[in-house]
Amino acid sequence: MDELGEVRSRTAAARRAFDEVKAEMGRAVVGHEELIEQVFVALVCGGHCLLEGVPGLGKTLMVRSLAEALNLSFSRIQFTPDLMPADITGTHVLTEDPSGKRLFDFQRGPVFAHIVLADEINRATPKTQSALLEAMQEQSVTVGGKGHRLESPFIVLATQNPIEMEGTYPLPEAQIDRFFFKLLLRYPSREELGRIADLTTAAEPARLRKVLDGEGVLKIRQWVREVPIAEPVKDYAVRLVLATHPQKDGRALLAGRYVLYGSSPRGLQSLILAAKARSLLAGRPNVSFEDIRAVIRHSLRHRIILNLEADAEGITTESILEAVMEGVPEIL
Amino acid sequence: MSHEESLLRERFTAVLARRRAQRREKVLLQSFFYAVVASLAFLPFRELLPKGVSPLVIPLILCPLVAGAVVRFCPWGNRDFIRALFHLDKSLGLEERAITAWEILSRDEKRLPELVVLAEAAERLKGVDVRVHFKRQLPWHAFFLPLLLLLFLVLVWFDVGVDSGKGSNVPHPDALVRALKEFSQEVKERALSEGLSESLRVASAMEELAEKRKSGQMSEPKLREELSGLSRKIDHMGLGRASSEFAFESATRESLADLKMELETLRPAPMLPGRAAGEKKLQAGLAGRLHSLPRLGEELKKRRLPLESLTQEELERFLGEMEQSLAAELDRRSLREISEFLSLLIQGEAERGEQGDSEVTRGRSGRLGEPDPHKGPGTLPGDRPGTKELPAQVAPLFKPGVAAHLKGILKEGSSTSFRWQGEPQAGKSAVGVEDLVVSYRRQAEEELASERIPEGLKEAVKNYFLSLGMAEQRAE
Repeated sequence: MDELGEVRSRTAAARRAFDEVKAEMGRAVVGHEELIEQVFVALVCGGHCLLEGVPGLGKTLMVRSLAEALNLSFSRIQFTPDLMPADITGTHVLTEDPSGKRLFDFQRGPVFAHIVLADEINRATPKTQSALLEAMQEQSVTVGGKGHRLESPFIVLATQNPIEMEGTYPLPEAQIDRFFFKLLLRYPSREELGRIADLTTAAEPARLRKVLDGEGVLKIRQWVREVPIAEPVKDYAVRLVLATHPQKDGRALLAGRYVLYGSSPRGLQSLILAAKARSLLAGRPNVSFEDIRAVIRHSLRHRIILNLEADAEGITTESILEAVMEGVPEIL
Repeated sequence: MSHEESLLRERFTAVLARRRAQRREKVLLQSFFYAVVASLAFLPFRELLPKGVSPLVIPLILCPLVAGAVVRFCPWGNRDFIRALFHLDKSLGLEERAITAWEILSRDEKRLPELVVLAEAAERLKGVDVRVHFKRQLPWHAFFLPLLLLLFLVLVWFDVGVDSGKGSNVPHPDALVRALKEFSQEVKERALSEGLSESLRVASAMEELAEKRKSGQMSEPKLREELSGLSRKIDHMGLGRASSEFAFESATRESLADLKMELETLRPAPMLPGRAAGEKKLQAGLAGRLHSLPRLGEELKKRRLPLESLTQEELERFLGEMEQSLAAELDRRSLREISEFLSLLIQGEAERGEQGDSEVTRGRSGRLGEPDPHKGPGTLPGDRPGTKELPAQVAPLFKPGVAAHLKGILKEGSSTSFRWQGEPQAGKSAVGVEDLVVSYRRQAEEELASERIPEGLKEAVKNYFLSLGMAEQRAE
């Protein structure tokens, strides 16, 4: 096989793996197809996701199913106000060796897994939340002055409840910015509810087949970064990001009025990387304008900070991003 | 260079050439459109153009200027080509493969995934005909351009524009031709209606000259030469010669017109009853008729004709001679007007003054001999007393029922009337039926001469007023 054929075959392999993961997860998770796609995109981009939705929508099931289908380790941390950082990262425990000598042994916390579900992350104190910060950004934790590398692939899927805000500690912007995607969970439709009932009450939950492994994910992650993107397409993404800034030239009309701070450069990185992943998983060799538009909501919605006027008038970041996409032409 | 790369380069070159050609076409169309718009806007001020320069050259000059400015300030650039590739991607559904491939082609080192893009783009573009995907799309300017151009040509053809009148006392060649033509047509109409044979001949000659000049068969100096010759010919025709038997020189044009009308009124009806009716009846009938025709009566009194001894043939001969003399006098005056108009036109004085071209028109409209009351003395006799500038005499206010006395010296001149001012009193003024008929007849003739009466109704109106005269005669 020639070199071009090899590249083509790996593109096809990535697409096939993606389709298989979706199909396998679809056996356990009803609905949320788009959510599964976006989580997989974040995974192959090396990013973390913030999932927002009311309880009981199948977040844990979905994450567990993903880990099962990918043959990756999975841990779940239920964030509560009394959760301590050591409960996440792990701690040194005094142990005695066979010779009777006492020494501190590092007990790994739940963060040492490929897929970490940080459930209701906004219920823990900022100190505990920040324990995840280093893990998410550096993919390592430091305990007792000693760094511990986390295994690749590593992805944090944090959830938060949008309605019960009392007694919670909203995530600081710096931490929110570290999430690659913010994904919204929608309530299932009537048909989906019916299927959920069938799946969960009639028989034993299906055991999922392992269709991919960590090594495969890492390969795809590498291929994603090699997808070429044309300068005009990249310029389009840059102009979209700039249009979210109220102070910049070329801002969208709504952004000028309702946005306090626009997207960070991480938003642009997320936008382009996610677009690359989307094109690869679609079997395309290059990034298109449509790829950029398809991921902009997930990439930028949590990176735009609205002002009080927007709160008062019920303006959401979704409507801002709609206006941004309408106002920015693909080609100048 | 791989096969894919060479294919892509060839395709992209074709796209580039096609788009550049389309842009050139678009720029030219738009430039011509805006040049025509600017020319239309400039048309009212075309007198500012150098002498001899046609307004038709304005768009031809402006178009290259506009096109040059567009090309200079908005030159064809890389961005235009990217737009073309973007259009190609969209129309073929290539999902930005063309744009990406074009960018990769410009790189020296190409990675494997980039070669895949080149290969896929080349595969998709292999059988693509660039002309099909970049069809000629005319801008909206192209649809309005013919209309604007037509409008411009029509306006130029009809010589629409504002004459500034500055910098030259010589009338514009077009204005000269126009004035000549309009004047000749007026004279022709008048000559036809009043039976002025010489005036008709001269008017036809003038019209012919105007047509020749307009069609370009004759140059302007030649036209002036011809007009001078015509003017001299009119002078040789004996403008100063008086009528042989009837002295109409001192009569105003209005009085001559009245007299002519009265003669025409008298003509259709039997002049006199037959011999068999007896001399007394003849005398009484003629006296009654003459009472209703004041001008004619006045002329008969001047001639002191013995009405009682006149035979039918003698009266007819007398009236015929008078009519001929009258026509000759009117013809003579008309020729004099033509001569004066031609003199003014040749000397270029018609354009002088702030009225410019309009003065020519006003001066010759109907009665060229009538002097302007606001200017110097008239050049024709009989229209204003003398040439000595005296303070204007104000006529006393006329009061009805009270005798008015007018002081002054009646000097030599041809004025036959005074101007009175006064408040009319209801029920006290009376106009004779005969005068009324004559007056109405004159008005009818004027209306007929003007174009306010539709052509088809002119005869009916004329017959109506003639019937009034017949009825009046029958009543007598």
